[in-house]
This record gives sequence, structure tokens and C-alpha cells, in this order.
Amino acid sequence: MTAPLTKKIATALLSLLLAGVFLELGLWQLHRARDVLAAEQVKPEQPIIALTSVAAAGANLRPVAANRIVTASGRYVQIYSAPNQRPMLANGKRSKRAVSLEVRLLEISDNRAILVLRGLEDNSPQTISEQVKVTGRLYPRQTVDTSDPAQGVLTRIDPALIAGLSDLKLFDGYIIVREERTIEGQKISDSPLASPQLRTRIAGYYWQHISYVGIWWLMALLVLVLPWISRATIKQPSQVFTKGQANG
Amino acid sequence: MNNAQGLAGAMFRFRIMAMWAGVMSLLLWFIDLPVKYIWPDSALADMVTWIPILHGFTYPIYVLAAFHYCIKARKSLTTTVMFILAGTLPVASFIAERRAVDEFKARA
Repeated sequence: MTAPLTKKIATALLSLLLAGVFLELGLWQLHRARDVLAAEQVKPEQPIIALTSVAAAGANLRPVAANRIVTASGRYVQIYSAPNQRPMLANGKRSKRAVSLEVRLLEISDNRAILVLRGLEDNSPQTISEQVKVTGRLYPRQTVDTSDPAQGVLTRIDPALIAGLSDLKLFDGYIIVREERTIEGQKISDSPLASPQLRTRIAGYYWQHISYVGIWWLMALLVLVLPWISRATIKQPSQVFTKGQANG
Repeated sequence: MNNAQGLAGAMFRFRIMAMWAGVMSLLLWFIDLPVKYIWPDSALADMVTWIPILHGFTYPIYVLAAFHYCIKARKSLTTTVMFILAGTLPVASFIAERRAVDEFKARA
């Protein structure tokens, strides 16, 4: 095999390899675009379910449990303040205004408890001594502190912060109340806070990813033709500046 | 149309697109990305959504313009690749545009 032929074959193989890589990158962007579209869609709500059916105390919150609307019955045993919080709005974005929220610890059967976000903090918190039935959406615990630690303050809504304070076994995550009733069915409160579905955030926008599909596939096309066009043009004698030379 | 006219036309298109790609890269790197990662939920982040999309859809035009110019100017494979990649980095496409203009003037 002659040296030029070997070089041509090597160039062709390299072009094909690079084109394959670019083609794959285009497909990856196409999948990202589809993922963005899927993440933006609101998923149909699943039926309301008992908290104990989807989650277990003392265990991490499973992904299938997050976002579910759950019910839990029990008695409030502690009141906490969660200052400097930016609650979610109905459109899924965070409020620009920071507020203090009232979080209570709801003790349910078998020495288990869960944090319940009831709404905006009031200077004189409502006394609720009877058993309550809470319906609301289950969210994963917060991971970022919004305030400094203090007595009766949750720096973030995370049961880990109060895990050592009692012998209660805590559920992971917390509930934002949608409806709160006594066991007899009398309504106590409706939460003023929105509790939209948490959506998976995927970087970028649909049309941005689609445009990148075009870029990668154009690159794939270019690496296929570039070596051959380049060779063909270099082989020809330069006639580019004939006009300039003639004028000069 | 002879080769010299073809080169002048290709260079004109490349210059326009190099400047455009340079401006878009600057917006992308120094406005869109900082805003998106520092204030992801802000109204400001919503206001700059158009930047990556417009950059994404116009960059292929820059690539084609750079490719066409490099072919007309009989650039080497390496230079062609460098010119194409210049559209992805802020300022690099401005440098490529200046270099192309200087070469054209020197040869003419």
C-alpha cells in the first residue's frame, strides 16, 4: 500500500470517527430538548394517598413519594418558625419576598412524626390541641439554610435539624398543608401557600438544544467534507489574486 | 465572477458573521451564563432567554461563512478549524476577522 493511499484511508477513518462523535452529540442534544419539554409539562396528579403508604419514618424520602398529595392524622406537638423563606408560587417559581413560615411537628401513630408547613407565621399562633387530619403535598427536605440557628427556629425545613430533640421517629421531607380538618371533619384552615408540583430543572431551553442539534450535525457534515475539499483546493494553483495582481 | 471577487464576497460575509458571533459570544459568556447561574429564578434570567437561542441558531451561519472564506482563501485544514472554532469564544472571532482583513490587505 502506498503512503498517499494510507494517508487517505487514515483521513477517511478519522473523518468518519469525528462525524460519528458529532452525530452522537447532536442526538444527545435532541434528547436534552425532549427532556426539557417533558420536564416543563405538568404531570397529572396521582390519587391522594396516606403518608404511611408512600413513606416510612426514619428512611430517606423515595423519589416516587415526593410530589404526592398525602394525608396524615395526628396531633401537633411542637411549633417552629422558619424565617427568611421564599415560598413557592403557583407557577413553580420562588417568591421574591422573604417571609417567616409556621412549621409544626405532627405526631402520628406509633411514635412517628412529620414536619407540616401550615402557612405564614403569626405573632399569636393558633392553638390546636385536638387531633387533626392534614392533606397536603409532600416535599423533599430543604438543603440550604435561610437563617441563623435559634431556639424554636428551623434554619431550613429539614427534619434532621430536630432529630435529636425527641424520641419521635421522623419522616423525611415535609408537607405543605392544603387542607387541615379536625378528626370530626371541621375545617381548621386552608393554607395560604401554594404547593405546586416540584419540577425537574434541566439546564437550557428547548429551542436552544434544538439549535445545538443543528450545530453538531453541521459539524459532522463538515468533518466529512473538509479534508477532501481542502485537498482539492490546495492542489490547484493559486488563482485567487489574479485580479489584484493584474491591477497592481 | 472570478476568484478575487468570490474571495471578497466570502470575506465580507465572514466579517459580518464574525462580528455577529463575537457579540453573541460576549452576551452569552458575560450576561446569559452569569445571570442564569447566579440568579436562576429571577426575572432577569427570563429576560436573557433569547441569547443562547439566537446564538445557537446563528452560529451555524458563522460556521458556513468561515468555511466558505477559508476555502476561497485556500486556508490550511488547521486554520479552517481554528476559524470555525473562533466563533465559540468571546473576542476570538474578532481576532479572526482582523487577521482575515490584514491578510487580504497584505495580499492585495
